[in-house]
Amino acid sequence: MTESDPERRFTAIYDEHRAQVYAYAVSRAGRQFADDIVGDTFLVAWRRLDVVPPRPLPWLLGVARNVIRERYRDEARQASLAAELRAWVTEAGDDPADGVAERVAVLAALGALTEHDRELITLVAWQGLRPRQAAQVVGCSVATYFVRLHRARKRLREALDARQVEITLPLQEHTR
Amino acid sequence: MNDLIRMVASSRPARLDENEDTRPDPASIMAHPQRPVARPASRRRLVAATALAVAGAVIVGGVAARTNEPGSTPSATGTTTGTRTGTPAPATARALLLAAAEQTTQDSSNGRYWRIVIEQGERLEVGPASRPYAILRKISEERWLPTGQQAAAGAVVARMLGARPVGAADEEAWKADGSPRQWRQGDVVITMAGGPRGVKMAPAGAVGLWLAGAPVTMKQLAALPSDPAALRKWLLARLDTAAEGPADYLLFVAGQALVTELPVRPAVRAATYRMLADLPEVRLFGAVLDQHGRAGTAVGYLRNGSETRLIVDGADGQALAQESWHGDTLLSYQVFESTGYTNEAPPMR
Repeated sequence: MTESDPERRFTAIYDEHRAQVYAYAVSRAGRQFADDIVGDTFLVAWRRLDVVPPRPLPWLLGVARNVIRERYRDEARQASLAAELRAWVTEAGDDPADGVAERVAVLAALGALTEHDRELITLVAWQGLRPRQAAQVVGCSVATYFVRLHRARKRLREALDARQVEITLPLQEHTR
Repeated sequence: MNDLIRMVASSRPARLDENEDTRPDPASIMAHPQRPVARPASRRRLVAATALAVAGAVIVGGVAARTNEPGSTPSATGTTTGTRTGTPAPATARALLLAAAEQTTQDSSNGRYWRIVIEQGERLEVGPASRPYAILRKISEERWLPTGQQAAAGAVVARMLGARPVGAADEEAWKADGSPRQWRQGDVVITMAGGPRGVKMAPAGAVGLWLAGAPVTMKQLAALPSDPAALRKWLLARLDTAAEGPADYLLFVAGQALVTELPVRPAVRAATYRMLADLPEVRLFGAVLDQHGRAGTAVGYLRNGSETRLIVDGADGQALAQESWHGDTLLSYQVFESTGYTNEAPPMR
């Protein structure tokens, strides 16, 4: 069986980055839509393989971001995302490992942020992007990115300090 | 990385990790043509967003308090009906849309503001995982867009109208849940009672007009062609760079925005109806009542089990509402209560 160069290249990109695109999709739209978003994103990558840069992750996340914005009805996505954020907290709470209280607090505080702030922080903390790459994903200059990240971090700190954990606690009661 | 970021990094939820066993083979993607000769076959997803870009502001304004009396809480959704109305029913979607185009001839294009009043409803799944239920949340929204060259600000006036369990089964599950009077969705609190009115002034260019996958300016809207073929071409060129999906579906969604909520000339609205009439996949749904009980005729575009419907008053070509359905379940709606130009000034508070 012979594989053409484009197929080899695409498969390599897919194998290397699918997990990261998936994680981004979950954090933006919840697990419910993640598979579809990842599928749509890589379909764009395949169709436009000629413009995919050598280090494709920021480009891929930028495409995923557009896919989410263009195609997922906002209310459906918000509901899915809300369920996702609740699950982060409840599932962190089930984990018997050390530091559970801190993880619950951090995830609850992240859930209390705006989507935009949360995206800025998680692109760095969970996707491991460098500032230039994160700026590319959200489509702003590096300077603007730093200002926004600074503000987002400040609000995360405030959310933690204000112990906004309680924002999600009523929902934990619901899950009994 | 500072400590805060490190703390977030070490709190990364396991849910972000995919189950590798169910990961699709990349060959399934490479089976598609590399060049966009034909747009890819439909992929599973809900209706594309004709996103109300102002929704964020709306929600913030409404979370604040619950002040009005519970008695004013809207009742659960009405269902559309098959009842016939006075106007003779069109036989096809095409006939309805062409008739609407014929009727769309005049309105007063003069006024300092384009003003539109919309009631939006959306179905949300809430409650415990063991017995979830659906609520319908309603929001009233008024948008004021300055029409002239003056540097007047636009305004968005929003009011939360409250939320209720949708049907009898939802009501039962809600009672079993302890009859909560508010629900939380991430950082948004949804209250059963409505909220006070909130006014948000917006710079002229920032009231959140959106067309065919990208923001659009009043100037661009004013320059839209009033010939159906030229309009279609304009939209397709824009969709080619701004959106992905079956072209006909994206044109339908863009057409909905043009006939319902965007300030365009009557001739452009008529051209939009004619363009929609030529889309082969648009089907006639029939005579319906919108969520305010106004009689009209619905056409729909079905995609993977979800249908986006446009309800038009065939008698005067006025678009009444749009709705999103999955099977028999109403997912969301927008009722266009009034649309037009005015010389009044927007409320300041």
